[in-house]
Amino acid sequence: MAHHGHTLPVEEPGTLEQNSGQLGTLALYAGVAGLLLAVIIAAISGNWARLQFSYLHNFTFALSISLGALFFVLIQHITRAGWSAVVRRLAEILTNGFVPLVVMFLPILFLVISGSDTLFLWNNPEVASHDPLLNHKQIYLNPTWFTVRAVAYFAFWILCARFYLMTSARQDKTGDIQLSLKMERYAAVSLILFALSLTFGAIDWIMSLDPRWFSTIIGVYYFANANVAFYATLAIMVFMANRNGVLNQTVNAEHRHDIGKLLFGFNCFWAYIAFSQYLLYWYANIPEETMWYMRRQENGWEIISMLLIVGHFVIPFLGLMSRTVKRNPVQLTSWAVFLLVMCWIDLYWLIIPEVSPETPAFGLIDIFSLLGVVGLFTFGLVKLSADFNLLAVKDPRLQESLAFHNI
Amino acid sequence: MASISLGSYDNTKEIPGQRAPLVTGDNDYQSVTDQVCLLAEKPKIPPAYFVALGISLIWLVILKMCIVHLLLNGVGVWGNMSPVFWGWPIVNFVFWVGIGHAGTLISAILFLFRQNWRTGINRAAEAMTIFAVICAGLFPGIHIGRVWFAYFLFPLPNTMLLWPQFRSPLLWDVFAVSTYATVSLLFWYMGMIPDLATFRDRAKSRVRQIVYGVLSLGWTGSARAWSRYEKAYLLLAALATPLVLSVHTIVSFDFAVSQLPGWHTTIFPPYFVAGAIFSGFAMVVTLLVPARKLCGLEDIITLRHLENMCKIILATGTIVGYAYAMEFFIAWYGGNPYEQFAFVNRAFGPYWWAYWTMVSCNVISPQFFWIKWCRTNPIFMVVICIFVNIGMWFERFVITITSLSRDFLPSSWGYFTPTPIDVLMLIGSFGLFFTLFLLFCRFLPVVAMAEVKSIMPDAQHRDPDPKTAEI
Amino acid sequence: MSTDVEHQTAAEPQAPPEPSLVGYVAQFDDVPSLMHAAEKTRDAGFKSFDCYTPFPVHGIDEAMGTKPTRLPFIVLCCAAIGSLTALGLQFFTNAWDYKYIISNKPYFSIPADMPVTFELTVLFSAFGALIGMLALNNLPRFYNRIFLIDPFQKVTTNGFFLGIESEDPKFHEEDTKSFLNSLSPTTVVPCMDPHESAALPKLLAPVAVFLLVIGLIPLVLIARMRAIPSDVPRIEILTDMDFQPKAKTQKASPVFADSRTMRPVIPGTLARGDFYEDVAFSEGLQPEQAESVDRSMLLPNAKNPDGTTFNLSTVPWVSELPVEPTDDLMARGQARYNIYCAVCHGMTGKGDGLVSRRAMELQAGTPGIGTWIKPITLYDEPIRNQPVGQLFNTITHGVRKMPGYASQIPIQDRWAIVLYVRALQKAGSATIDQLPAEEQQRLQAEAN
Repeated sequence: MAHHGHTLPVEEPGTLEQNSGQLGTLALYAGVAGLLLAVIIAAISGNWARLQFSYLHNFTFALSISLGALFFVLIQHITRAGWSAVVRRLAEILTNGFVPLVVMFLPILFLVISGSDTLFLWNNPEVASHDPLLNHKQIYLNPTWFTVRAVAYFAFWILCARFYLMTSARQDKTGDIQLSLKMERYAAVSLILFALSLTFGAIDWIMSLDPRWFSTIIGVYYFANANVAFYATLAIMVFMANRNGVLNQTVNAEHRHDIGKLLFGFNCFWAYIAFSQYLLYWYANIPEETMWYMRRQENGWEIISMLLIVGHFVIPFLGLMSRTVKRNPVQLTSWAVFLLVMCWIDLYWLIIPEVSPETPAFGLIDIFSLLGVVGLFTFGLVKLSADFNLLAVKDPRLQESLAFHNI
Repeated sequence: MASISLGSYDNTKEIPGQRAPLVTGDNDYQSVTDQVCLLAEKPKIPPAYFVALGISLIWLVILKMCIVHLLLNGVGVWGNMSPVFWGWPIVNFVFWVGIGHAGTLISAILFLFRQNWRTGINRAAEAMTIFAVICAGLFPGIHIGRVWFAYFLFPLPNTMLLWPQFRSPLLWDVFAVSTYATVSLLFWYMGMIPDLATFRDRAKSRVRQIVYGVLSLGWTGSARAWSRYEKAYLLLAALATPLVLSVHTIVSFDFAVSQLPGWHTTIFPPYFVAGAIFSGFAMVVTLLVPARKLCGLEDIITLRHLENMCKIILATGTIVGYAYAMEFFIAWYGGNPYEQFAFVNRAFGPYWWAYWTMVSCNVISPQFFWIKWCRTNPIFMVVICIFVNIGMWFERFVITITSLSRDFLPSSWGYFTPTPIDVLMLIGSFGLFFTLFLLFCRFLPVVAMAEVKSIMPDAQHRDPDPKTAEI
Repeated sequence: MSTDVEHQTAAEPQAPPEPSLVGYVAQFDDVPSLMHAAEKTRDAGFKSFDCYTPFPVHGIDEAMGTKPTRLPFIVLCCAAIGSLTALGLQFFTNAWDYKYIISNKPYFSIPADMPVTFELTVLFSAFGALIGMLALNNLPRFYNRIFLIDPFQKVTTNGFFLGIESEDPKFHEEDTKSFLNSLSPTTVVPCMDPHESAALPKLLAPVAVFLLVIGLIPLVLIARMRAIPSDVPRIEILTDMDFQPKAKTQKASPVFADSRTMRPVIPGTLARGDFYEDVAFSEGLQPEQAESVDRSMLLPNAKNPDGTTFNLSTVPWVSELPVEPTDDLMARGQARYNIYCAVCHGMTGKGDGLVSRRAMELQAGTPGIGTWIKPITLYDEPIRNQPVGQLFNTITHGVRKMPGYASQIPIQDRWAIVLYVRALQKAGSATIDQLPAEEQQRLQAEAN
């Protein structure tokens, strides 16, 4: 609630470059080393398919964080949110991740264009022409159209992310409130395009791994996961910033409480979506649908499935319920890390059974791919966002955000 | 006392960094109270009120006659037939339950999201919710034919040693709708306690003093009581939020767990919820635009409130459009010929008129709300909202009737036609709904006065030192 | 209001005493002055005091030093009870007490149990939140001395009050008043306990009793109806589908010209599965000559055109079983025979079944009343010489007084019975030397 007569002091946290230290360089080394090691392991074991799936898995994981961040930025603008002004810049910085992600998408695109059917069975003309279902879907699932769509998604994501970041950065200098109104105006259309691009992205890159399976909710599922991943990342970023002595005067327990609530809320939303999809398929029991779940219920995959129910929902639901936990930096961050791991496992559970239905075992290849993708993602973020402030210092709603109290 | 002099200030204008006032005009706590109590305490009620009540009562009587007719003659008086056993009454049920989502959404979800503008409209919306759920509960209640056996729906020990079947989505519905009705009632009543105390303290006649005195439970406005009250409100909001999502989710399970083409779609749960919020808000706007005129509440239920609701209608309408598109896309993508047929049949089969009514009312008509004039003109928005509700009724009609009338076996296909009783009962349910709502306007606080006061300027005073904010 | 003043003193004296002071209430203009006063009062060490406002004022808890409420914990407990109740209910009803399989789902299906579990969790928690809040606030409480203060009715409109109770150890009649005055209120009013209350209306008790009695009458009537037997049919408020328009078999029908409700079979009608090409199997006739057989002559007691009894032995019956005689068929035949035939023909075919013996006894007791004829022994010569086709025909259509069994016994089973009857005939007419040697020895050993 806005206050009269008081103006709170605004901390100048400086740019990301001033605060990130060696993070960018470390991330670059980790990324390159991770990817190299993953390739080496694949070369030794000869299991190139696993490398591709592992890479795709970690790509969708990093992508989910940036997508969640973009959604956060858009929704804050369209709802004219006040509380979030102190953390919105962190989210805007995360949306810069689309640029390294588009670069990292190139190998996948290259594989598809070169006719490899390791990731996407529909890319095999031999199989597709004999399978009536795949034959039917060829109008949609073909390399050209796949490429066009991917280009469209990334073009929108990058344009949208850059627009919000640059406009917000311009406001840091001018403090022009018209910019806020402008961002609000564009947010509505952007949200519609966001919903469509995320949905079809999820269909293309996750659902079509099993080209015979389908679910209308897959986009919402990935969206829920993206939000959980984003809020977890945001909580971790706030914690890291505070550890480095930045934003200490700005982001307080009230904001942590809100981030915690949203993390909790979206995690419940994820559970709701996941349960809805499972229940409908379990109950109707139609083989063309249940085969997808069957793959995740045998050969040890049932352990991962149970782990998701317990670890992605039950434990964090009980753990994050308390007000005290959400307001405590260490506790909130611990839960955020835990949930981020769970989001990673969730995507693992979505993607890896398609290449390794016989065992759910994690390998070094997964760890190195994670290191590689997230390392390069972070490096790209840090490099691209070096000049941006960590706080939208002249946001018109910053005062409201600083003075904000939960009931 | 808090007061603001803004005259004809347009509070739909957004200035980032300043929060537009949600109570306009020269109002203070006293005048807010006076305005809200006006209709309930007025010695002379406007004739428009009696005209509206009279019309509603006539339709209520027609509804009752139809129900008696149904009970005496059986469900054959409806148009339900083979294969459309779930006909008109289920369409009405889902329609009314959907309407009933806005109230608890406004009081719970918007509360959690700290949307202060909800305070002007939440009471009326909650009341509307309860009345809509009553209308909804009516239809499955009489659909069972022999209503005196309605207790079979509940797990009560009986002489036949039978128990209900908990693996059936229809039983989940019984639990979901009755829980929702109960919790909404609790929420509504709890929110009303402080305002009933206001009525008690202003009451002139002995009868009013006793009735409102009993209903307000001896509320004193003690700060210690307020503290627990707010905690309870927060907890109820946190409970009602998943509850409101669960109700239409479970209604959607009624359809989606089956194997019928057009019903068995995983997007159904969130899609039904979005549709419910969509129709609920449309109904709130439809009711509140005349009600604020009738009760003289233009300064409390301002244009900004209405504009915000229009935006939510636009957003949820677009989500509904997204769900229609996804259904169609996946029906094609899935490659199941029955599923494909179901969707082609919806759009171009014998019920094409219902489908295109649905699409034009639900997807196209809310698009007008992109234009600011449309969402700040009360008359225009009521027109759109009525279209939205027509569209949402047809949505349920399309889902229920088209899928049932043409399923896997062409030999059992049929064409459902409603009987006059069907139509009269649908209109009659509006009579019940409006009668209850008009009585509510007359006898209960239509606006949450205490909550509106708490968001007026100067109502909150807090030390803005962030250091005290730690834990 | 847990810290409120009024706890009714135990012993009420006979005469109403003078009104006593139970606290002071100060009125304030707006929120900031009330907050300020609350902080001062807290810092002055008062515990039994409270602020009264028309709406919740945020931050006043800290200003007053109120402790956080236990309500969330209560609600959490209710939620747990709700979940367990729901799971327990669903386990007990569907997986324990009344098990049945529905759409191949397990009795206790966790996914299907989730919706109801969720709903009951929320329901219990919601009741916990409301009832817990009311209980912690000591509500409902309709009589409160603070309502007697004149400006206090403003509290639900625009009044801000702070009250200090006489219960507080730091309360002092004069000092507290001057302390409150120092907080710059608009007024300070003493809160008095008048020690008297208005009498209830005299009519209340009789009216209540009357209504109670009236209300009990239907219950008493229902109880009486349940306990006392009655010749009158029950009162049917709702006929409950007891009287339905329907076609009853023996009633006249207005629909058909012949007024028969039960419709005769249209000539040439065959039931599904009733058509057999092999007349040997379906009728026991030799296929080559079956064309020439007049089927109406195969019915019991058929007469020749000249009035003499038709001789069934002239019909071209099959003499070989048209089915494969196996042990299974024999067992089947025995079972069917024991069910359908043995009641008259006896278990061994001697014609000494229970029905027959009883009928003979009755006839013997009262001569001249009965027309019962003992069934002939199945292993008599003429029967033994009958071809299997004729035996089959007898079972199908009956003979003399024996009715046909075609409608009860399927064709395959009739042949099984024929096979078993053949076995009975063989056993009934056998001599001892036809038995295997060891059987002969065993029987002789038993006879000795």
